[in-house]
Amino acid sequence: MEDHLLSICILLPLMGAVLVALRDQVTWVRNTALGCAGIEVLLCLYLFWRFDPGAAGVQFSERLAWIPELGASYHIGVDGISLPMLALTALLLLLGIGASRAERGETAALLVAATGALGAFASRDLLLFYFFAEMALLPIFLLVGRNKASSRVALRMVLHGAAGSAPLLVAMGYLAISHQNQVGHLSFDLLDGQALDLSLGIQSWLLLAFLVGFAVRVPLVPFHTWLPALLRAASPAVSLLAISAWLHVGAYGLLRFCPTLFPDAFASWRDYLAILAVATAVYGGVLGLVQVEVRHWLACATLSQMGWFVLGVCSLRAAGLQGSVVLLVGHGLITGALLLLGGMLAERGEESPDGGLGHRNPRLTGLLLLATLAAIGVPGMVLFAGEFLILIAAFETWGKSGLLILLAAGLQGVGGLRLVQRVVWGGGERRRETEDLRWREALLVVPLLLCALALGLRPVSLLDRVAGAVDGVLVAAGVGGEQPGEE
Amino acid sequence: MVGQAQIVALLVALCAPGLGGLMAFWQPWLALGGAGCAWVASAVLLQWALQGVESSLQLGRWLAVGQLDIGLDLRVDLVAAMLLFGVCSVGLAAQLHAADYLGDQRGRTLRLCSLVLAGSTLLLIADNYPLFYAGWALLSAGGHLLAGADYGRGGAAVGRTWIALRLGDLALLAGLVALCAGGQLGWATGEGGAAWIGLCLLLAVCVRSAQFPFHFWWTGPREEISFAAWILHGVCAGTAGLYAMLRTQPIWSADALVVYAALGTGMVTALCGAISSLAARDVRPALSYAMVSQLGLALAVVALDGRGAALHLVILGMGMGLLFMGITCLARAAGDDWELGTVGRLRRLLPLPYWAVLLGGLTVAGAPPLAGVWSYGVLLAPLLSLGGPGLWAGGCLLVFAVALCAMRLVFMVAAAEEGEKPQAFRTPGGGAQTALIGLGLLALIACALGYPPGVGYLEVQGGVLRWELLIGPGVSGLVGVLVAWLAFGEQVVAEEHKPGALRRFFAEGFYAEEVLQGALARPLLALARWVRDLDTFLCELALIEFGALSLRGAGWILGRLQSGQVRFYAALTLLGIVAALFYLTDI
Repeated sequence: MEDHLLSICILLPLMGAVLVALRDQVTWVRNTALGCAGIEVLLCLYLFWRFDPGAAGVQFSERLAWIPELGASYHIGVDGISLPMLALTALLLLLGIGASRAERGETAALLVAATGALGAFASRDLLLFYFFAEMALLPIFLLVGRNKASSRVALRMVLHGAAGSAPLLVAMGYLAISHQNQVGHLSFDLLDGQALDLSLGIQSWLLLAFLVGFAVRVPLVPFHTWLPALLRAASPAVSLLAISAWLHVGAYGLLRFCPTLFPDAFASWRDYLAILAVATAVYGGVLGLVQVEVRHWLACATLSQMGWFVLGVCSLRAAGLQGSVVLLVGHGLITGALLLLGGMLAERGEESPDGGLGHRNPRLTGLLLLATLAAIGVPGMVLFAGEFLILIAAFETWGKSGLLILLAAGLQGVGGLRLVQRVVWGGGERRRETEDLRWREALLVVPLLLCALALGLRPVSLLDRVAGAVDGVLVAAGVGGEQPGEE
Repeated sequence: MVGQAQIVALLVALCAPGLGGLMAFWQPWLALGGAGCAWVASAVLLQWALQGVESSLQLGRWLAVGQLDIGLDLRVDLVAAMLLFGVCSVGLAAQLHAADYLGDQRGRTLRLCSLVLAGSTLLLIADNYPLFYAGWALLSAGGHLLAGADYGRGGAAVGRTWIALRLGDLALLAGLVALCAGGQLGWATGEGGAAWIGLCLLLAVCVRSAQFPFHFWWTGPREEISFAAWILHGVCAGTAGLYAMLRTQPIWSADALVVYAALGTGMVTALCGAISSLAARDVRPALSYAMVSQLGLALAVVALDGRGAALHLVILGMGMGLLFMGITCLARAAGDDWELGTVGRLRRLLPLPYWAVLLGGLTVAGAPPLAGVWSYGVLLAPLLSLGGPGLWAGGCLLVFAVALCAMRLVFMVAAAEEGEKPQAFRTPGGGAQTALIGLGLLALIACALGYPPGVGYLEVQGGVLRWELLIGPGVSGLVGVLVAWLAFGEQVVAEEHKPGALRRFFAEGFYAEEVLQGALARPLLALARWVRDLDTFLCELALIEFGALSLRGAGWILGRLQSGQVRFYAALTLLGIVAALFYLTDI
């Protein structure tokens, strides 16, 4: 049983989706989906517990032939980078199901998207990663495009998705063919790809294709326009899973594949990528200054934070990469909380900038303030730990120029404050009374904020697990530790 | 035994305010319990520190990557213990005062005061820069929320406080990241740093300790805040800024540019603050600018030698706390009348707050034999030894100015025409009178601090306590008191009198906020709107519409290719020939 624990973990939501599809009854749908998601969370916690931070390489590994003619295999496993992402996806799935309306189609689609995201995080094979990543996207397209008003958003996502996926698939194919040319058989395995001997020019083209593929998902400027539109059009439950299926899978891919598959090209191009990352972060910060709705600002804040993430990856330092992983986890937790809170505000008609929320709904206000402070990187919350490590790495790599990203932090803070100031303070007395936070809503948001707080107070518990995997990435990128094969 | 007691005291000082604040969700008065426990712990820690015993505690690792290992390390030496005691004392008194006056706002204000106190405590007992920054940012968050404790008042004060403090936070973070990346995690011990690091730290200190032109976040909030609670944030923020300056002295002191910038900023702040305080007719800006002026003086002296600054900050906190809280009692009793000429009209009905105002004013003015004279003497001593008699005389002049503006308030309160007891009159506390307990606590400490603890502090610090150096500041303070008495002892400000443009200019803090808004905030917002519109145009219209149009065009061509129409093929062939001709003729 334990040999296939990871497969069970990945496929459980898919089985849940099949079960959910059997009966169109709200209680059945909700209970089945919540049960699956709850077991998923427990399984991920078990994986966390059994994970050995000191062991090298991937753990809970499984390998089966998938498409032998193409050299693709069902090769999965987790290390310190993918394990937190698995746990985060499971948690977001649980809370997303809790926040959804328990419609059969929506719930089944959420479960399928979660399967895709979980599979992508665990994949050790490029084609398998591609398969799972696309599998995570399709349900989101369908959910967003269900009604006429948001069909344009879905179309935009399709265009972006296609623009990103096509070069990614071509580049992966090229890697497999290169493997055939050099070794004698096709292979999409990650380790085989890392062992390829490619010229700098080829690496640069392939890196460009991968970067385009992931920059659409992360997103980086100018591929970002789908994000605000998605958060505006989708329900909080769909947005939660979209964060995991789009952003986190893209960010994970960028961290996992780009420096390790194309080490020379990445080392050559990382300065330009870092400039793009800082520009993205600052751009998000500037845009966030003039947003008047929580979810719009959240899209800008996400853009900013993804800039931080990419900067950490580009530093090619342990502190930067570990900081990026912590930041990604923190982003999931805090953005999740803010998305849910934004949904609650919208449901009450409180998202408009008339103000006065503090008077009417003090408990909701308290959580909104806490989540906003967490989102702008106040110490004690997990994002600060990630940002601080990335700053250290950026300064070590680029000197004073690396600190330019602090400009984004400042803008993001001011934008967040301006937003909550409009919503919370002021005279909204003339508006109708609305109900304050319900206990069921609190159950959705509070766990996310508690996790963010716990990891912020003790980030070392996560960093210790991430360290080994980050060292592996650095070794593969040719900048840290001993090269493979050396004694 | 002492080791275990130290651990307990440190943990209580660290956790009590935060836990009290959390428990205040259940019962508001539990916040007072937390502040009280922290105060007792700080007194115990100060006692040990005066005996030369440092308290330290390591609570494990916090952030660790490779060689970067940042622990949850706490340490309290004499400077930290002194400041911790001052902050906890003002914190307890302010919470007692707030508990009495705030009605339905009480719970939230007490919780936020606890948050401010928790942030301040953390930064004072932190033993490394990242943990110090955590306390610093927590203090920012608490101060920002405290400025907006009353949700109904609008958020101008919240925005002003947050934006200014955030600017300082990021400057500090930039400096600290540079230090940490260089392997210097703990307090600086003697290595100089790059000038830009020193300037970053100085910017952070200037914003946090409300130096000109960043003073507006502290002096601006008037109606929006609980005024007595605001002194807590003022004391905590001023302490934090100057404590950062003290702790990083080895980094910036080697660079003359930073030293002169700090000295100049401090002196300008002291002078401008005093002028603005003297020009104000409302009690709240008058008091706030008096505080700013004091903080400027402290910064100027810390730029040269900060040994006496800790004691001065504590005594300043006590004195200003007495002034703030005493005047708040008088103003609230008079139905929220904050006009300088009339705020004291009920002083005979409220003798204890009135005496607190008098005691606070005299303490801040440095009138012998109260504690202020000691701290001014020690504070100004480095000006003589390092800057010469001219600079020392300049310092004495600033003491005169700050004494004058503090005592102006006192004499105007004393000289107000006595009024009838209004219908809305309420004594502090009604039944419990906890506000008076806070005032009494501060008064006792203000009187006592100048003697055994203060002198003991100086002896342990090795400060040069030359009696002749006390004469200059003492005389300056007394002259300030005398001039204030002569100028304002009999004067009652006419209510109908409209102040002139120059006076308004001074009273509004030289319009620094407006200048900064015009130079930075408005252009930035305009840029943000422009970028938003551009983003919409370029990405929404150009990218998406063009992409969709291209796809539709490609689809149309593909459709036509399958239509079998001769005209289309002919047109396509013609187009191909033209393109080939252009290519071949190299046009």
